[in-house]
Amino acid sequence: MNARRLLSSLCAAGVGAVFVLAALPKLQDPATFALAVYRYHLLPGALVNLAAMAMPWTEILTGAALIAGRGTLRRAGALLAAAMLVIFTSAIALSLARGLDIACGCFSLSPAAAAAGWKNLVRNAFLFAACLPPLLLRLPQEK
Amino acid sequence: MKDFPAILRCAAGLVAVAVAAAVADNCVRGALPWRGDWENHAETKARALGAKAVTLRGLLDAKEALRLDARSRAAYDAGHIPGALSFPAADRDEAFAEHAAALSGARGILVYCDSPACDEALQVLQFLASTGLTNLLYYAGGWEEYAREKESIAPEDAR
Repeated sequence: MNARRLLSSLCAAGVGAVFVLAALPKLQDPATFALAVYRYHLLPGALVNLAAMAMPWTEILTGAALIAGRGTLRRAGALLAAAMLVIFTSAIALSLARGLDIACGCFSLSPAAAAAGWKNLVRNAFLFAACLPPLLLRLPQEK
Repeated sequence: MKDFPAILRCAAGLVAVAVAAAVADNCVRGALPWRGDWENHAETKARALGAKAVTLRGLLDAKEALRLDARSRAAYDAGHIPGALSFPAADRDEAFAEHAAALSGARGILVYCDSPACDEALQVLQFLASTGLTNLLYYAGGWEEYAREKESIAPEDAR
């Protein structure tokens, strides 16, 4: 298998799986996820619930596009994943800068979950990097 | 990247489908009100009083903070967060006199009541702020969340 294709596929599948896994607890407990969104204090109160409703479904479809999609669909998934990671990372960085003591709300919605910190930023940076091959590498059949 | 517009259109389509799915999901399950009353959430009020809102993890990590139970003495006697002192909102003047020494030397004062729906912790926070005390923490989850989650708290986190 072409090395570019392999790298692109592995990165897409990995990031896609992470997004799907991240969405599941949010779909199971929308109220607790809405509380996690509220605790960032970045959105007006009127938009908190709407964001909490839309985010897990966007993550699920992004993950599905990365895992099962080909060509433009997979690249669109990679673009969405990269854009969401930029938003999530900015939100975490802002909460750190403001001294908020809040959980990430990324994978676990447990009230005992560790507070968002530098580890989350590093993890997101790796995930962002993994979005780039499926987004930018041109595969042989696409030339 | 000449195919970028097509990728962008496809991404916008995915977002549109996700929003439609979210709306349909909430119509079916009714899990969330379309507009939450977050402006009146207890943590918003606590922040307005100058207190920092903490989660259960924040409560466990703030080991040096003095814990105050703002519920009635009867509720406190029936069960409270380990290490907490009884500081009923209804008897805050007496409680303040009783715990004056502990309060003045505290490195952080954490207040809780039953849940985000109760008002006693906010009353005590307002009272403490009016006395000039700072470094106030508010645990909105309160006794109900702590009691629900205490089995999952690691022994090294308990005190």
